[in-house]
Amino acid sequence: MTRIAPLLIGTLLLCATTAASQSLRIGESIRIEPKARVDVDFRTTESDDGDVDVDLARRRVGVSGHVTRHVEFEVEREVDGTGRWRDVFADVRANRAIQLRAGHFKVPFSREQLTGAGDLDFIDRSRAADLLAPGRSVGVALHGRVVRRIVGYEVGTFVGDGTRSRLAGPAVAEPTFAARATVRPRGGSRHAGAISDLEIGAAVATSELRDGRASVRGRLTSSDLFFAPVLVSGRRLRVGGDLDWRPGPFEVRSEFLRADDARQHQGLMGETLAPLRAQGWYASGVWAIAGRSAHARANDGFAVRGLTGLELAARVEQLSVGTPGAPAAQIWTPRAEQLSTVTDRAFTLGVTWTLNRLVRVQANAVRESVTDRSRTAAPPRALWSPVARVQVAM
Amino acid sequence: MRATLSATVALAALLFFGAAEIHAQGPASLDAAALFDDSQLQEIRLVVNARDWADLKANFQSNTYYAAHFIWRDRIVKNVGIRSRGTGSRSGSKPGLRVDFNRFDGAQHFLGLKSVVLRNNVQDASQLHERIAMRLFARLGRPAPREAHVRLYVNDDYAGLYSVVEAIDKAFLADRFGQDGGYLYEYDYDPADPPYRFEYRGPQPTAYSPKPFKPVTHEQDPDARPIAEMARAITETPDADFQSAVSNYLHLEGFAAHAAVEAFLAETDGLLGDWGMNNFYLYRFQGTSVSTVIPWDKSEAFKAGVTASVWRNVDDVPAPSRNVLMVRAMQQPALRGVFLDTLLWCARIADATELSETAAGGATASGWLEREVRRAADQIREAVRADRVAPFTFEEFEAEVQRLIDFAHDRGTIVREDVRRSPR
Repeated sequence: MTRIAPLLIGTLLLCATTAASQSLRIGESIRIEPKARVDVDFRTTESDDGDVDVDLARRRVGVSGHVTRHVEFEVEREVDGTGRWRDVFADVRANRAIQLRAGHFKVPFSREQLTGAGDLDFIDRSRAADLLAPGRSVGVALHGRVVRRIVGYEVGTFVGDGTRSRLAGPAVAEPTFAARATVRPRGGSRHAGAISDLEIGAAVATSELRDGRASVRGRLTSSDLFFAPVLVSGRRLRVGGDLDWRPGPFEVRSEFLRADDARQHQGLMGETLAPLRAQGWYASGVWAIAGRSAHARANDGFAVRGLTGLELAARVEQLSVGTPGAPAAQIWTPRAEQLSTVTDRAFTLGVTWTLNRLVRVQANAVRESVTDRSRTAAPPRALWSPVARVQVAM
Repeated sequence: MRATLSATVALAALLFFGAAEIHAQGPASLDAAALFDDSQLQEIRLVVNARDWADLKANFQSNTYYAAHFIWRDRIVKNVGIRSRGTGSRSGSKPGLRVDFNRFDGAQHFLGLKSVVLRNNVQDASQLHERIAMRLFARLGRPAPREAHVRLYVNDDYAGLYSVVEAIDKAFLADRFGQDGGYLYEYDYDPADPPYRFEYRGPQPTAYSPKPFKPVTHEQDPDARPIAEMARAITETPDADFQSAVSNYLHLEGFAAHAAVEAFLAETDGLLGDWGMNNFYLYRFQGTSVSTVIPWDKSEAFKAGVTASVWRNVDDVPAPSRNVLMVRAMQQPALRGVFLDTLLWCARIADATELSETAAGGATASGWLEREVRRAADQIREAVRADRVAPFTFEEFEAEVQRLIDFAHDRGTIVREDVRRSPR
């Protein structure tokens, strides 16, 4: 893998450079653009004895485009051997206020989860967004911006809740309803003083989980498990709130997410157990050193000079999983009546260098510590995990 | 017959009276010996989520653990871990089970035990092979697991007749050897693996562990180097130095005695099994390079038949199918003597006569082994009759019991004659 990665990056760079500006036009109304992405990660943790793992984290190809100005579409697929489809949807636009999306796409919920991999400020999404937000599912959603573009909305219904925590067994339909609203006070105007580029959002999603489903898995950034899933059944209710503010060269983002999973009839004798609550938050700040406009120019493919395209970022975050009110020192089993809260806290420092619109290089240092109330004798141990990523996309 | 409180009622009562958390060692008046007391038919109840029990049976080849409550007499051990277990004995209708008291709570134990095995005995119509065989090992002073027959109930439903078997783990080591810091390996034979008979596979420890010697302790650092050295000593040491060289790695007298008990029992799947070695543990004493063997799973004992030669799989098979260690050990007069003497001890124990009453009111003389078979068969007979998930009929049970009685009656004489004819 170590030898393949540079070769793959080089090949993709070459292809991407020549194909970046290529798109297929059929008449005046149809346009199709190819897409491809390769992310190569270099990871190590203190617990890995210093070994560096090289991982092709993402290998995707796809197309996007539009058919007339009313229909947009996107198709993307993994080429990592799993062959999983990612986005396969069409978006029909009546006007700015009413648009209809149908197909396989992200369930509208978390701001960060809805942010594309190429636009993330850090290599890894926050634990809360990564583990608590729904993924993709088949569904239909109505979305748009109303009230002079001040309010955005997306309301959808899906056949599943898109999480990746399903236990082994046949996939079953788990109807999910999701709604997300955002408020951008400046609306469509360019100048709105101190609240320029401020957007706040709120979301709710509810699913009906079938018997035999697993709860969230608590995983550290290093992928180590800090909370093994328990069995859940019944209503899964997610709520979330977020904020995004971009004053000048800075950007501040924060998000709070909570998922409550019912555990109906999950006891050893079929009794209903206390619901499991997983909740988390993060707050991050980004500084575009040469200014946001300069960074935007670099992102658009202009030549990079000096620190243009360079961003520094920091994030603090926390994720807790347990049953509310559970006393400490509860024994974990998949069917335990109560589960002591386990908390993961992380602090991330990062730098992102956007060489041009095709290539980004990111480096993060993550310090993570876990507090497990059921094992009070063991003090939390902090782990540093340096991660670097080369991202090539077209 | 359900003689004790049902699982549900017992648990409900405990919860109601606020005494729910019973997950520590019981009062001093009871210890593990009571659980393995085979003078009575034991009863164990498991409380498992119905879906988990169905999943365990449907996925019986998987080692997935499920949470359960374990009930024995008036004791409830909460939040134990159970999983399907076994190699050839894995079953979806009557799953063999491993019960780990400390699976979800590392500090939890029961009667000093960290785990027990609930053996389903599906490879033996009499369900007696294992119990009788282990009794003989114990009578010979070998470190054998204790066990007793048990009626198993799962969620108040009779799940069949099982044996509760002492697990070979640190608790076992501490009890038998007074130490538990050494290296314990389970000989992990898979039918798809090539047979192994202590041949030297080279100096690499990975050629020996985790396959076929699966580490049970020190899993992160199994240190199989002494096993490689032992195999080399067994294979390459000249005859004159064999005993002294191999004794640096293996308790040879114990090995010879173990092989003798298996030979007496006409075992087909043990140290000298028909498919290479199988069904034993190897324990290397802490701070030394010396190991000893511990017997395990004797469901295939007695199957070679009452007339089986004590040299079966030693001198009656082609050279490649012979156990290197056994062949070379038997070239040492002292070890050969241990083997033959142990066989005679087995015969003497098996034939130790006692008068017992007959059903007609008279008296009859029978040997210890035959009495053990009869006593155990009488104890479990009704439980076998009620066992609807056993893969054998009640008639097959009775026929196999009779065959064991005949074996017990005649085996001593046959073995003594075999020993008499064997040069020392």
